[in-house]
Amino acid sequence: MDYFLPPDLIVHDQVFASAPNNLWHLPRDTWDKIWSKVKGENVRVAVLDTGVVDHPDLPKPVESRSFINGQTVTDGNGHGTHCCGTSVGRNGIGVAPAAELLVGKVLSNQGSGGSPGIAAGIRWAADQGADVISMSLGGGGSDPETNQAIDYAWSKGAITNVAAGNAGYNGADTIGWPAKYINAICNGATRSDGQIASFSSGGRRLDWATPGEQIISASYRGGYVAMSGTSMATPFGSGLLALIVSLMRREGMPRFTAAEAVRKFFEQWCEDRGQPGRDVRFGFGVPRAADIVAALVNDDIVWA
Amino acid sequence: MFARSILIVLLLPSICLAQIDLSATKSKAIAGLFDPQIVAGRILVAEKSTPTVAEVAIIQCVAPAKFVRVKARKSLYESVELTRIDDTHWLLEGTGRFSVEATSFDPEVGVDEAQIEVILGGVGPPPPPVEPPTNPGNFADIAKVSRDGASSLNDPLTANRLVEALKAIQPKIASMETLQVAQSAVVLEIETVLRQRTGESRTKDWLGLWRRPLNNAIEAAKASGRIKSPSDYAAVVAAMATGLESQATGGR
Repeated sequence: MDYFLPPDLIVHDQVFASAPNNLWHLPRDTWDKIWSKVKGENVRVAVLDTGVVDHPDLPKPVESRSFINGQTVTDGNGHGTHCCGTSVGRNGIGVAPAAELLVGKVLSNQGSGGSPGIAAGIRWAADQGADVISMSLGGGGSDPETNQAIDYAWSKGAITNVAAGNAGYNGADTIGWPAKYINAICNGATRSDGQIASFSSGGRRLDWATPGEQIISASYRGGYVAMSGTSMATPFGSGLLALIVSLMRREGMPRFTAAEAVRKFFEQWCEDRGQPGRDVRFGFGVPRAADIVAALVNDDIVWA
Repeated sequence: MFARSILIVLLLPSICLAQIDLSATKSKAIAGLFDPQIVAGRILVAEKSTPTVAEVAIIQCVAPAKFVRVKARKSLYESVELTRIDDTHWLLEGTGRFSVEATSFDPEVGVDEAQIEVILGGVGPPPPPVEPPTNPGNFADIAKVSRDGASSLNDPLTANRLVEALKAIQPKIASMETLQVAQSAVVLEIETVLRQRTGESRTKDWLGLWRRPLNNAIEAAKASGRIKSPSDYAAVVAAMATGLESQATGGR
């Protein structure tokens, strides 16, 4: 089984020498308050993608490994670097700026990878202590090896968050694999007005939707570039999961041990959009990040 | 989604509630048995059996409604599987505090919800005898809450690290400027240890079973005037550490 970058990934032409202040998906009036409480400390996020390059706003990976024969971890595509930035980038471009980064190159510089490498990447990330595994990739069919690797990740305490796909929705299920696997978290994309992005795949397996249109993040050529896709939404969701895990761990709460527990969390803490309840376009909805952090921090309790 | 369907029904004008009777009875279960047979008042088992005694709960849910759903969870984020015994009984196993919820729905009778809390001790040999605290001072009650919570968590690694952290900061507390400053310093130490948990320790509910009960006990002590100064709080922290020590191991 071969997996690919979700098709119709949109890379916008505009390149920025410096990241604009106040990115739409990380407005500083909201996120500075969140980051004053949590930044993803003591959490590891694994980005399994086309690799990464050095960038001033990216942390040095604590571990990295290539699962592509003949290619190093160095990102020759740009997709992986962009995803790393959205997830754990510093200086306002990443959701969990204090989280540690693991990078597994499971997609080639041409943007494709086989399921053995992807499954091996998932297992490697879990063995490296990943708390969240972010995968902005997909294909048309279910692969038992990849599914079992996701189960293994759960056994090691890692949540696997996967892009739903960029096939849009016209009434038929368009979610790809492994996002569709029941033990993966399936991530769709919203646009800046809060509506679901037209390219975001839909179906009953969709779990949640996070910002994925015109997302500015690190460019593998230096500077910053805007990209759109569920590929961009997924590292955002993964970064938010990292913040949640960091807070839960700090407060002494038990960790998520199954995808259903994460869904139960979404049911309470996502803002319901689209059709009432869980629906094929938004899943459980859009996470209320500020409310989640405020609740988990137990600000209503003054610890004695 | 089921919960949303119930809400729609509740909006109709002439709904009456179905009655749910939800209860839990604690019981002992013997796990690890292979091929059990009862013969002449004895339980015969295969030689490879390794019997251990577990505390379990038999959940009984009786409702006249057509559809009943019973769920258990250990926290807001962690559901627990119940083993169905028959149409009205389920088996709950595990360690810690559980919330058991029942929801019934019947188009004729209506809907109802019920919820109970169950606390179980878990599988394994009986816990070792609890050593009396070495120097509980005036806060033996705080030490007991700390000890009871840590005991139910069965996470000696985290307990050990908390003891080390509390003992490291305890000598400095009496000279801190205010009680609030002292509390903040101790909370930071506790949260730092909890944040660094790894492996199985991450699955333990230190918030629900240790932090909150301790917090309640300390608030009660403050309300009764027993904790008024950093010096008083230093003795509280010593009691917390004493309670944890019964569960801590000797090494890292």
